[in-house]
Amino acid sequence: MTARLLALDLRRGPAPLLALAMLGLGGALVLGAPGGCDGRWPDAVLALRDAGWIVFPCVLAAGVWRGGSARRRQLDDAITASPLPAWRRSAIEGGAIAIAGVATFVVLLAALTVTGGCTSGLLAGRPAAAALAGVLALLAAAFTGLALGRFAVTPMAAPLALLATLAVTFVAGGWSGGSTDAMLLFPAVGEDVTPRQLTVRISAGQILWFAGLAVSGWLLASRFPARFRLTRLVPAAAGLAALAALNPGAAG
Amino acid sequence: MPDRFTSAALAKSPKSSSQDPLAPTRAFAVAAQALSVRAGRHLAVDGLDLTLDTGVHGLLGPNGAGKTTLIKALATVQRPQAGKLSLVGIDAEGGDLRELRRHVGYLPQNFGFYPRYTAREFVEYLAWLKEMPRGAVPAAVDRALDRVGLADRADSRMGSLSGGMIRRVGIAQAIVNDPALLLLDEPTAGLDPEQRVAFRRLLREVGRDSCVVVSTHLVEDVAAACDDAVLLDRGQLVFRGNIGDLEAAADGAPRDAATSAVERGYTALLQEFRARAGA
Amino acid sequence: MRLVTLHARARRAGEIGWGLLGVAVACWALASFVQDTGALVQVLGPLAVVSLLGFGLGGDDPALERTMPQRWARWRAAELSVCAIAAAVALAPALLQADQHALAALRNLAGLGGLTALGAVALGARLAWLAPTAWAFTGSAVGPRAEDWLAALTWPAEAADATSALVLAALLAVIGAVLHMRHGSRVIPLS
Repeated sequence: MTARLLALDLRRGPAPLLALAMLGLGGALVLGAPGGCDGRWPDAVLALRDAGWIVFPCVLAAGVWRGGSARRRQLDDAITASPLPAWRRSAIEGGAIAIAGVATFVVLLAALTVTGGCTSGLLAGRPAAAALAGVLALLAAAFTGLALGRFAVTPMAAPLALLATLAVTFVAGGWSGGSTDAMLLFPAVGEDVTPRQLTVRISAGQILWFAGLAVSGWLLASRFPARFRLTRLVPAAAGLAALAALNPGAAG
Repeated sequence: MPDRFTSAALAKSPKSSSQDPLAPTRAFAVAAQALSVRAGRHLAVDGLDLTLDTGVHGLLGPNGAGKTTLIKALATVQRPQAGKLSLVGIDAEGGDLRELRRHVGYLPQNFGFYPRYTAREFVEYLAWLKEMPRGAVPAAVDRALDRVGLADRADSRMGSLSGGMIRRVGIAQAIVNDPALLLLDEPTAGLDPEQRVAFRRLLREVGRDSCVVVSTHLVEDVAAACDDAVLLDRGQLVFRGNIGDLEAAADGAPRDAATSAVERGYTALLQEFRARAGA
Repeated sequence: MRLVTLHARARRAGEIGWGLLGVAVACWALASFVQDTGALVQVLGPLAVVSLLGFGLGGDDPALERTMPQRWARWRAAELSVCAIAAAVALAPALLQADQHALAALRNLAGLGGLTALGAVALGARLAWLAPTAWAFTGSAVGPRAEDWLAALTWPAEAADATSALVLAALLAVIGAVLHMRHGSRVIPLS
């Protein structure tokens, strides 16, 4: 039944529009970029991670939209009264958004690899870890957005979340061109970051952070009893601690 | 149209006329000639001829019969694809729509509202939009809310009202301007029996001076409150006549303790119509 | 005046007003305290403002409103005028800090505003923000292309002196305003 519900959400939810938007935006950013990857797969991964500044907010906004859709359509009570556990429902809704995001990410990476001939260093450890961090960032965006959408009562939440995330990404990225430690919290990489600088330690830290954020987002979206509310932030806090422990210095 | 489907009593009543209903000398509240209206790609109202005047008219039919689409066309929400439509003596196609809309009250099947409005503010806002005289608005709003039994909840926010109360606020906004043509789509949805009795009383009161069209599939509401019934199926007119003739249509059909005479007549007419259409 | 007040509330003027205040403060802070954010404010500021204002381009029941004997074209013209003024006021503090990007931001406000109006006509007021967001993001992703025909498509990211960008933004503003005044927000919203 879960698979059928997931398939329904993939068809009828915001997932198809999100995938289209990501293909358009990500494709424009990555495939239209001058210079390309110089035949190196790590550069292809870096280019796609850099597109995260625009893609991550889109996935977050789609999650916010999906999270509030039951309330907007006054289906909240009917769904709450159903036997389907809230955690499973959240997994399905967030999962559909995440699948759209991750699938598009993989498609774009494959397209860039093939069209740009970016085969040197294919699937090497460091860039593969960086790619995995990018995938988990999309998961985190989907479930964090879903949680925000559950609690935000205004329909303006989706565009506001999208634009706020964009603005914060730029500020964290030190818009002037230099990366800051805060950029590690986001999937986008700074303009002057090279593939070598995305070390396995950095990627491992980001993987743990994004995974923790995704779990916390899912828990918050699942609306467990209020007394457990703070404990739902523990995975995100643990992920943040792991990121800090693995990367005590700057990203550069 | 065969006698079975047209009430003989209605044919002889002063309300019916052999004159062209769209002629300037005879302004029916609703005069439709060969009216066709689409709902999306589907032709929901198909070549309908119908005249309605002062009184309470029940619009019956199964799901998908075209009732809501017809109501929307009468409310000028939807434009007909073919045919002629005149409302309160004004041509719905080329006439003065603003003047027409000042005399229409409409309750949609589902309506949106700003949840932070109080009931009074919501009705007042729509009264203003209907261009009621400024000085008359406050008293008209109070009267409308009182008539639907919500005087004590007038200052409650719409978001805090129950479904039935929201429905009654919807009815209040429809009657606030004492319209010449009142269109109600499923008005009793969510109302408890006491409220439905009060609502029927309200309908009869309004129907003394206005043309009221009530779209519903609750035949008991039609039987209790309406002067006559219009039965639609698949966008076409199945029956037009008074309640007695609707009940008489059940003659010969097997009696069932769980159904009323009106329900049996309704069912018998539909079955006969479908059998003829299929033949 | 009472009708105007009720109408403004029906259009969520209060919520939108608070949102605009937040956007105004955020844009001003960006422009004042973070270096070289002119290009960001040029796109993000107008986009945030028109996204919020788009929610006010339609009521909670456009179909019921259509049955009212109002000259809705005049109402919409007034709404668009108020939106334009509110948008300019909200962005003014940031634009005063943004130097050469101020004119480009005003151009973007007009063009993205027109797209928002078109979005309301096509998708309904609640989804109107999708239209300007899609175009602004795509333009920003491709980046300024002042030297070729793509400059017309990437107009939100172009410099203030890019003629094709100015022309397209102006066209979008006019077309969006005219179509919205004529048709209003989509009667059966997609969401």
